[in-house]
Amino acid sequence: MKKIVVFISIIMVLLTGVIFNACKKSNLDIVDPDITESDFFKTQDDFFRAMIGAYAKITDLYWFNNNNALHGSWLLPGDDITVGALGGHDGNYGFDQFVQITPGKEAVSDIWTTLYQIINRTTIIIIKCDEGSASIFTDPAMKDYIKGEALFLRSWCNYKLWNTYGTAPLITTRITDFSKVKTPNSKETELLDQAITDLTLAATLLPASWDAANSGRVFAESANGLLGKCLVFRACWNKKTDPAKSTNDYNDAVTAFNKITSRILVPNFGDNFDATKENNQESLFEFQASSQSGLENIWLANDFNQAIGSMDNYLGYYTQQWQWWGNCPYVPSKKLIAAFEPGDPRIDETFVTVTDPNYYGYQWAKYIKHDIEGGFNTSMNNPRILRYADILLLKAEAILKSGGSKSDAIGLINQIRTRARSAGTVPADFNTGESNESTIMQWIMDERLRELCGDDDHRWFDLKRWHYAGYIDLSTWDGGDGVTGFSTSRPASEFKFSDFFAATHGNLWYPIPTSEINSNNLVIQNPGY
Amino acid sequence: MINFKNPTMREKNPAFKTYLLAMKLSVILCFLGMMQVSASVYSQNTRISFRYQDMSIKEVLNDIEKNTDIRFFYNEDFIDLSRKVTMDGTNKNVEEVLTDLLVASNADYKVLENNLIVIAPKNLMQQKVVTGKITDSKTGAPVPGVNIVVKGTTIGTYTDANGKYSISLPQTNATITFSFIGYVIQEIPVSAGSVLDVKLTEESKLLDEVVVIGYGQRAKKDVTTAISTVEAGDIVKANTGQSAELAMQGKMTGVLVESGGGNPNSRPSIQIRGLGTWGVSQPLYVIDGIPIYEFGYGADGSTSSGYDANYVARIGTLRGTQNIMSTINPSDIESISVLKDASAAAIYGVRASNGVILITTKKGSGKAKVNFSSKFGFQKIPERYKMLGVQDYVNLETEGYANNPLLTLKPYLDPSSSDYLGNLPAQDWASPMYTKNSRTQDYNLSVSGGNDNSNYFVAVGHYKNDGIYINNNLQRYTVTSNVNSKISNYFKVGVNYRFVYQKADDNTPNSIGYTVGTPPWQPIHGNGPNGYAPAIDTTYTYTPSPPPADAMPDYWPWQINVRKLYGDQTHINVYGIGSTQDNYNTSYRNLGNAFIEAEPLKGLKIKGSVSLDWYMQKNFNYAFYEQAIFSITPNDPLKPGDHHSLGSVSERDSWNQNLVKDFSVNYNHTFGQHNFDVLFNAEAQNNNFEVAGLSTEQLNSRVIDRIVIKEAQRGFTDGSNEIHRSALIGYLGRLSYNYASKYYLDATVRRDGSYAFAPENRWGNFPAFSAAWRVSAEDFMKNLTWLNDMKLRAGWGQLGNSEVRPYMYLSSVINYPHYSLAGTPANGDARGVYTWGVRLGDFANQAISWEKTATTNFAIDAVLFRTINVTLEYYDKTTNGLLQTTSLPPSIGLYANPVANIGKVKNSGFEFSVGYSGKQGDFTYNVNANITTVKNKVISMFNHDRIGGNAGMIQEGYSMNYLWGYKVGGIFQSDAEAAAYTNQIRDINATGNTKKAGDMWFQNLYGNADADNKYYNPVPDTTVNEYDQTYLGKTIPSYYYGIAINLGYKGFDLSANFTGVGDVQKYDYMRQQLTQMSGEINQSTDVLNRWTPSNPSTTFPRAAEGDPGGNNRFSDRFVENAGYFRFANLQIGYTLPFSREQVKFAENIRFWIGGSNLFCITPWKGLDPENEDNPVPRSYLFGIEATF
Repeated sequence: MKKIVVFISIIMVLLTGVIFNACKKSNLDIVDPDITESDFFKTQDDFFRAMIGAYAKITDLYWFNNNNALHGSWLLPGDDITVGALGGHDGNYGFDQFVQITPGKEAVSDIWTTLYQIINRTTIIIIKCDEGSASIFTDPAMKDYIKGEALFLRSWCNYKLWNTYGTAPLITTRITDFSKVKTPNSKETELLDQAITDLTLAATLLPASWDAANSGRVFAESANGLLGKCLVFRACWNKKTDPAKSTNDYNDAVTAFNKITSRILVPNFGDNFDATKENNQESLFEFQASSQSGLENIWLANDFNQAIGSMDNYLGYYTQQWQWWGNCPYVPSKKLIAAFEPGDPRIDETFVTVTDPNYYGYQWAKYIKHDIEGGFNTSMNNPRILRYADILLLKAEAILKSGGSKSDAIGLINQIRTRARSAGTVPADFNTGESNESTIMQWIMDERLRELCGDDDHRWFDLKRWHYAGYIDLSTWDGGDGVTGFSTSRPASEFKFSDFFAATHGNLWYPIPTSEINSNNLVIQNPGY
Repeated sequence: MINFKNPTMREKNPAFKTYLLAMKLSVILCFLGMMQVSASVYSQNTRISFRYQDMSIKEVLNDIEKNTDIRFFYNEDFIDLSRKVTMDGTNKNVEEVLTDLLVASNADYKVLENNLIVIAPKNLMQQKVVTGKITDSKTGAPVPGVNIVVKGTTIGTYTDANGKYSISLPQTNATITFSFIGYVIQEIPVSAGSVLDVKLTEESKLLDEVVVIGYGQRAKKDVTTAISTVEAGDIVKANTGQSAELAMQGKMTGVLVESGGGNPNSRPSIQIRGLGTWGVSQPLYVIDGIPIYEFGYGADGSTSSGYDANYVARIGTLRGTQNIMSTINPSDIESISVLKDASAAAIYGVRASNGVILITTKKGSGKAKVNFSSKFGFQKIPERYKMLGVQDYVNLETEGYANNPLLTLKPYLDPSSSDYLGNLPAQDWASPMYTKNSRTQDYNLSVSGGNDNSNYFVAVGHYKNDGIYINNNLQRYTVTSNVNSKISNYFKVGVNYRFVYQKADDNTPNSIGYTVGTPPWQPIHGNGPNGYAPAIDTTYTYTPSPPPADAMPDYWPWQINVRKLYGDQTHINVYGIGSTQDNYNTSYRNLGNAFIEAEPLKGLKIKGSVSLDWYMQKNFNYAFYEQAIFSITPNDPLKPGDHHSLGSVSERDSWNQNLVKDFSVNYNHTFGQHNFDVLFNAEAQNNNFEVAGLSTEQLNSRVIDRIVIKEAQRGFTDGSNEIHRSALIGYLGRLSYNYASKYYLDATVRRDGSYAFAPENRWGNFPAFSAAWRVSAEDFMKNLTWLNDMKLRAGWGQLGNSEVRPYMYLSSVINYPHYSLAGTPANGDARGVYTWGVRLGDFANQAISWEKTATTNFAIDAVLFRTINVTLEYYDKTTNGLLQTTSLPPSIGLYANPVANIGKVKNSGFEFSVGYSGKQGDFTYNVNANITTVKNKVISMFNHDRIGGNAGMIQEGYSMNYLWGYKVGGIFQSDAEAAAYTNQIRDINATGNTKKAGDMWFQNLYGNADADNKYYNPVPDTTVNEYDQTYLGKTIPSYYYGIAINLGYKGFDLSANFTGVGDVQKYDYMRQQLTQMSGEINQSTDVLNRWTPSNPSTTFPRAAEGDPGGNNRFSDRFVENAGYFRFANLQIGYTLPFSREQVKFAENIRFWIGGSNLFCITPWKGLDPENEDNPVPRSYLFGIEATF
């Protein structure tokens, strides 16, 4: 009996030992397989990777997005690109006709979400740079460089938010408190104001240039370029209500543009849309479209967890593709075709002649002509978001509208035309003696159309700001501008811009997406939706 | 001589005559009863000699009276004494004479005391009565209603309210059977005239049935909490070989089992007492005491489960569709207990908030037994979609394009075009998707036995289900064994091991929904690979222009020209694709447990156990590049690998290891009427989930057995692995006390720690109490004989749930964004250098902690009349601090929304079940019915937010996941009517706010939200926009019910089960897809009823390509009542009528036939209200069970 009791006791002790060992509280301390924030931002590389993560988010604006690519939302409202006769294939074709632009529309919320995610990523970097000791940077200048990049990217988002939604909330802090998650609408130009402040600072922080291994990152002149652009936009907004402020902004813009000294117009216009000529000397900011070697999964977003996502730009709209029953949904408008003088060499780089009547004789060529495909009609060709030609035309406008030298302004337009004609004669220079401001402004507007058409989001944003400034009047716009039918696919009578304009009370902004409205009652929907 | 005959009176008054007659008879009978036993022997000793010639009987009797002391007692009203007889005899006793005398008459005689002989009608004379009283052997209380039958006859009666009975025997000696439900049947031989009092002994079944309660078991009458059970017998009769959940369907109150439909791999969903969370709502499974934990538990397939969509998709991919229950062979299961309330489930505090399902498997006992069972069946789905033919399709599309001025008819739809496709023959795309002669097979063999010291159970099983859709099937082999042994007076050890091998093909080329939408003119068969028709016309051309110097091989300019052959909506040739690829899962699951238990003192048990559940799942798939032409989004088959590769292969191996260490001390003691049971338990659980994947785009063989990923292909091979870990620790204390089986009190406290929370918020305490009063055990209730048992019980408790995305208290740095730098004109490199970036996921919420569910119960359990079992229960289950993903404004810029304790949801309702069982001779019957009501309501939300979308909105004051959308107003019958409307109201979903005749209009209910009105302004404006969306229906059924009928007659048995749910709505996505009349996908024949000028429908809009009227928006147009009443199961069996004595080799052999889902009554317009994509099949089965 005694033996048994001893035996039992031993067993009990063993069991108890095993269990209590197993139940040690520390067994619950399981390490997160991902690195945590408290262990991060400790080295220069950490900051570099965070910045790459911020740049990478731009992909969400340009990728295939499961056949719901966002390009249509900024390309189609303008008068440079329209949908073809059989263009109803694309979910975004309503942007062409200004119909079905609803708060619930996917593109409306995808752009919003992406821009705010970039703002969040860059804001974190800005905060971490401010908090971080310079000593962790192996290259002491890198701390400023990265902060400058973050400020630039955030400004670009605020600039796009202002242009797209107008009253989107302005957010400059990292929100980590449930009680502070709601931010009300911004007012007037608050978004642009913030961008101007940030870019002014960024221009002082960024390097003059990067080495080849880092090409594609923004530099000081990128910040000055975008700064000037934002100032021009703000000047347009205030032109009618506060002309003095407007003139001031135009002047500041010229100052900023003047700081751009290393950029040139590359001799060959087509190089700006050539996949093998990316980040060239004309370029100030590009989305670095790529494609992962053999592994790109275009159905997954760049951020996709633990798998290969997209890194490319989608250009399937411009070509005859299987998705569209061999059709091509987006084509150049008749107005655009008519805008070029015959013989302008830019024509060959912008569109091609086709015989298919469904495309009114023309199909898009810019970016396509010198493309390198990433598979599935995706492209490795970088969208040139900001380039020197744009800067020169903005500068011409700023000089003209701030009462500067008209001949200087015309000279800047002529720089563009000079490069365009290359060794040829068309387009010829404008007369630098012209004194009629409206004529010169019309020249600028037309040159912007020819030079920048279908090249990212220029045209629609330009039309809107010129309307604010009173240079054009969109309220009576049929989009045609003298060419029969704004939208080449159907008669002007069916074009619904006036309906849209009336319904939104002249508001040219897109609606604030339902996802924001539903979760943030401090935000008021834009008028008309 | 006494002759009652009194002609005078009788003739004068007939009524008096009748009265007198009755009185006389009763007097006679009274005499008979009282005097019979003491009758003298005189009549036998008195002998007479006589000779009667042609005398009436009456004269004979008079003569005998004259010659002896015998006196006769008779009444001529009843017997005829006038018949003439002739007889003689010498020295005969009187009885012999009387027998001869009365032989041909209707009368008989009886000798009484005092030489009195009564002569009366035979039928009266033959009564041999037995009387007595029947009482309960334990309580001494009389038992009314006992069935008393004279064996071998139809003569029977019942005891009266006082337990008394009286029965007549047909002969002097007989056997009487006393039977009553709930008591042991007694058979007692009796002789006439006796008094027989019987004491009946309770049959233990009803009240002493044992219920598994978690960490132990308890007699049913002593249970104080809400537990439902099903037993092996029910499981066998549920016809399921696949997964035992279906045996629970409709049989338990409070438990809603929604079938996974016809896919043998899908897991049914189980809701216990409503839905307490929009996250993980699956209950915890505990198999033989082992809590099962799997990676991604509950997150599979559900995007609303607190995980972000990418993570969910990822989990779904990694863990496959393994169903916990399908890895347990239903025929190995002894019982399933569902712990529904917190007081029952608190012992599993952690993860128990959705209820706990305890599965106990069979153990051996007694003499060695071999059990064999097998079933075989055919299955099919009862209904299919009816689709348009080519001409109807062309008509529809032509009409649809004509109705949208913004669009031009496509050439292939235009008969005048050379591209017109309408001349092609129609194809039946749906039929090949269904498995032909789909069968299910199930074979099980077990050996078991045991004695006082040890027992064993060993079983093997094989199950095979061909599935409803092609390439979607399941095969399973199971091995189960357990041995328990007492190694000394103090020790017991046991080992329980289970092995499951499953192979599942999960390669249905596409959904039936997609497949039926194929344009009817697109051919299935053609000149492509394997005899299938290409969907596209394509050429792949290699243009050997010189590549850039440092370019990757796939950088070369390959050309791919693709043209869809059958219109814009050319579909993938799903059958072609299916013929060129395979995707299957094999899994191996091992579930083992070993314990040692010591009992150093009587009543004190100390037990330690270690359990390991590990499974490996291998997903293997390959696809040949030649399938490109069946696809409409083809990869260039020449591009991957070395440009001559045949296809791609990938394999993913996942490994789940769940280790549970468990230590418990249990002491129970009784003194006097006090019974104590104390339990302490400590448990630690660790889970590791690892995945390794490998894939190549270089495949060099078409022979399936040679498909491997070769190391030498490293240039084209890709690999990865990942690890997920989790850990939980729990301590439990439980005290159970009862006094005299009358008053019960149970208290449980569990303390749990989860790795998922920050150290300071890691631990949660989960208390629970329950009490019961067994009223029927009180002395003052003993007289209520109809109430055999009654118990009142109440309970309260708290449970926890920690199942969310892990590490939400940390801010993780995620390493997935990627970007490329370094593309320059100098290197002409468009690709640049691939660079890894990072992002911070969302913001860390250090404060998150346990989601807590509190339940309160009140219940009455009763047994009435020994035959009726009733339970009525009220429950309230409130989940607080719902641990869920918030729905923060996108403007804060998070990649994924953080998790927080954000809401409160209440479920309450009644559960009622009633069972009636009984027996009439050889006929036994048992009918059970139950119903559960659920009232689900979201009580509060973080920030008063509303989250979700059309298909499931979550908002304060509403049932969770309600359907939200527009309400149809009507259909315009003329353009003028439509124009009048659009002049007043702007509909932003209608293109250009243009409506035409045949378009729907939608109700303008509200105005836009503003600062004062969070979601909408109750005053309508003039715009129909998203603010006019409203409540359209609830997705949680308000009630569900089940009826189970079991009948038996001799060797035959029948069991039938019906289940149903009610007051539930679903959005019919398939009907939306198949009647949208836009998008060129083929439509169901329902669209033939569409609005046209000649068919002015008021419910079905016009056809219009692009849906310019916005008729297809999410609206109540497609919301349907998804209630149903289903004949779930029928089984009719016959057990061969022999016993072991008769047939040596077998103890029991039973054959049966049965069916499942034999009918379903529902207002649902689609194929199946439970599962539209993969409907519940109808099956017919037969089987055999034998014990040797």
